[in-house]
Amino acid sequence: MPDLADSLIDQFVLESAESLSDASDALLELEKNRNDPDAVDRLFRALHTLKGNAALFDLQPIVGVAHIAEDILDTIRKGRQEMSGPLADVIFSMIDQIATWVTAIERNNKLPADAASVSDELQARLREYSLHEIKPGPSSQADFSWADSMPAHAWMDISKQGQPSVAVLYTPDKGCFFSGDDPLQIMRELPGLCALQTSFRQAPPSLSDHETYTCHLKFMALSSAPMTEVAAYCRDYKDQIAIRASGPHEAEPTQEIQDTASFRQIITAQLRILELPDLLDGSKARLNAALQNIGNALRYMKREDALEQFARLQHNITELQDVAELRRFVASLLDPQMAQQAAEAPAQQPETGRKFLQIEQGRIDQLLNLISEMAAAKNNLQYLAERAESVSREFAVELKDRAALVERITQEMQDIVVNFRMTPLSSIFKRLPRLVRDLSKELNRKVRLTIEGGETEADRHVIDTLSEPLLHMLRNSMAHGIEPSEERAAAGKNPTGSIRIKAYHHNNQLIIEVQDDGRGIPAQKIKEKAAASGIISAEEAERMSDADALQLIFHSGFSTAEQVTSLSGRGVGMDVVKSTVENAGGRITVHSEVGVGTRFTLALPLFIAAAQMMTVRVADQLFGIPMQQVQQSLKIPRKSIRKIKKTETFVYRDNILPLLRLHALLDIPATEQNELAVMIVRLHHGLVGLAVDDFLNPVEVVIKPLSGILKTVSNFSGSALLADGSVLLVLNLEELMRGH
Amino acid sequence: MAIKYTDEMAIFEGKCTLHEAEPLHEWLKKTPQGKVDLAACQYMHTAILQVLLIAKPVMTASPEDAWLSACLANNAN
Repeated sequence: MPDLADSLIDQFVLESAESLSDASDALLELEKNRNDPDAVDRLFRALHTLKGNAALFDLQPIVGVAHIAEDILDTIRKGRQEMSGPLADVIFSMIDQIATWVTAIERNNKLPADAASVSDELQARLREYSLHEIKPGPSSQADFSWADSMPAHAWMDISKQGQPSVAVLYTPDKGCFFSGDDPLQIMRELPGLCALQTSFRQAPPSLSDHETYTCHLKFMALSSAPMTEVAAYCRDYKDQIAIRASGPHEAEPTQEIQDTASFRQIITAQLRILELPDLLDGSKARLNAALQNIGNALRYMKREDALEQFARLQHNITELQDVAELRRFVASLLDPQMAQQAAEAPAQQPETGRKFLQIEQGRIDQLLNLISEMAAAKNNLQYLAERAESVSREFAVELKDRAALVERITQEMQDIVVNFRMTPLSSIFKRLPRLVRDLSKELNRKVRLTIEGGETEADRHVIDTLSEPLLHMLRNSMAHGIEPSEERAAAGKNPTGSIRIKAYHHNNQLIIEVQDDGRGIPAQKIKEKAAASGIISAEEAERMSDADALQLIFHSGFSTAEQVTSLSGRGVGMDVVKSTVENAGGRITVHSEVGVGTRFTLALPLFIAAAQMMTVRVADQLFGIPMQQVQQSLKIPRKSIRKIKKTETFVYRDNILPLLRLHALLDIPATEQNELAVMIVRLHHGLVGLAVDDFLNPVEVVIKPLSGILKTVSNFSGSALLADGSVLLVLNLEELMRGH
Repeated sequence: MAIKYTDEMAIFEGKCTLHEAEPLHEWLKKTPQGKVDLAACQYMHTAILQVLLIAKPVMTASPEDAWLSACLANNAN
């Protein structure tokens, strides 16, 4: 595989991921309805695009398997065979394997070393379903041996182009003329073309046998342009063109060639300047600089004839303010043909109409981070305005006005960028049907998956956070919720189980429900198991309501699986789901009815960008508590604190709550006060009072994950910058109070 | 028409597009000794190049356009 620029890799990875996803969706459809011609077509097209993309980068292991699969699908399309379960399995294996390869390419810019042998095995499995011997596709024959021995007559004027570095093999579709392609012209415009040879694919037909509109030619070319440029140019013909980096050729560029290349570079740059629409407006500095450069380049190359013409044109510009002729002249220095084009092309006009840019997510995140920091920094202005009150009231008012303006602009910017990152949930939902299909087979369960609200949008980060928990919940429903068909039939239920996933917005939150019609979670069994594992005492188990008992499934190490499957039941699961969701500022709840089914509900913020944080002080340090965990802040007299065993408690709304002191939890020296500032916080297992020294105002901040050594400190979930520049550490209360 | 035909000569001029490929093909079939004059040809569609490469008629003048001229000479078959 050639050494590809990151931008091309990104494009390849993006497009391949889309094709793989399309292929997977279509194959799932095809499994459900084996005669669906539309699904066969979609699958065929997805694999064809994938093959074309891979062929462009000479990724033979991918091209090979995709080609055979495409051929098999063609026979299905023509009604010569039907899609079967085992065939779908092989194609799914192929899709998975290609996805693995694409990931490898994304990470290492190349395929893994064993790709060829893995591809061979897959090809052998696929061939079992082909009805005839499959000829290798055009790209899989890609032979570049010609690139090292181009005959002398094939070379164009190398002095114009520089050293070739890329070999291009173009085998046009036989019917390409009908689709408007003119391969010769396509090759003529190949960037940096240095050598071109045409050849008939097979022995040329006789004149009487030849069909005028069938293309029998193939084209072999060498280019001196960068690989990225050549690949970008060839994209439109990717299923017909293979490119490969080409080694150095015998003739090293002479000084003259190097000079010529530099001359072309200089002149090309000046031509771009001359094509600017506002060249003659205002200062003529750019025009004068361009004229100077052209003159110098011509003098260096001793182009006396051109110098004379140039001098005359320069005079015209000063007198007539007309650069059109100069543009033609400069273009002719590069290539007489370009002169023609330059003459025909008007100066660049600003284009109108909507345009779209594809921007890497990391850049948007970077922009959002900066805007968020600006939002925090703008608080500085308000802080300053308050301080300015003591100096000059007039100055303070002016400063506040400015601060309000900055705040408005910052807010608008933040809204716009946050919207950039809104992504539909379908991006993660589309993985689910495949998962259900595979699990149905592995667990021998019949399940119908219904997905609603795939178009519901949320911040990319929220979606990313949600992906794993969702898969886990689905696995759990399949493994523990849905009963085997016989059991369901015996219970008078539909032998096919149902899992419904529904997403919607509610109260500015993203809600996702995962509901199954399985056996439900038996609260009594949960209590027994929890008591047996020492999670709760026997008395607690007895007192506990069924609804509370259900919450125990989120306790770490809890598992009710009767058998350990490869999917779940390993004791790690719902606790991770819960903590992942809560770390993203969300909540998860569960409702279940034995024999009827279980419903998990996830509620997540739509954006994670800014968070409301309650600030508290302990000694001289400030800490943040996420607002959604705060129930109430109150002051309680010291005398109302009671000790039960070793735990301090107090009464809150007729309930006895444990009281924990943040000093003690963080190992900070405390000062005793008669009245305690207590924050009532909501945790997994209920409400807890947290004693601090003081409450401060709530703030809106951007939480950043801790990095470096601090990354391992589990007591804090992140940090945020406050208006006065100080740093706020955000408490991870669940971790902090674990074991208390 | 960018290709003009005399009894034994096809004279190319300017841009010779796909539409001219079939008449040329037919003419070359009917006129095995036909010659071609490409001096003034500025562009030819691949389909025309292909017909010329198969028929290999005598070229009384090659295109002035060096690129096109090289293409006609660069066929490996």
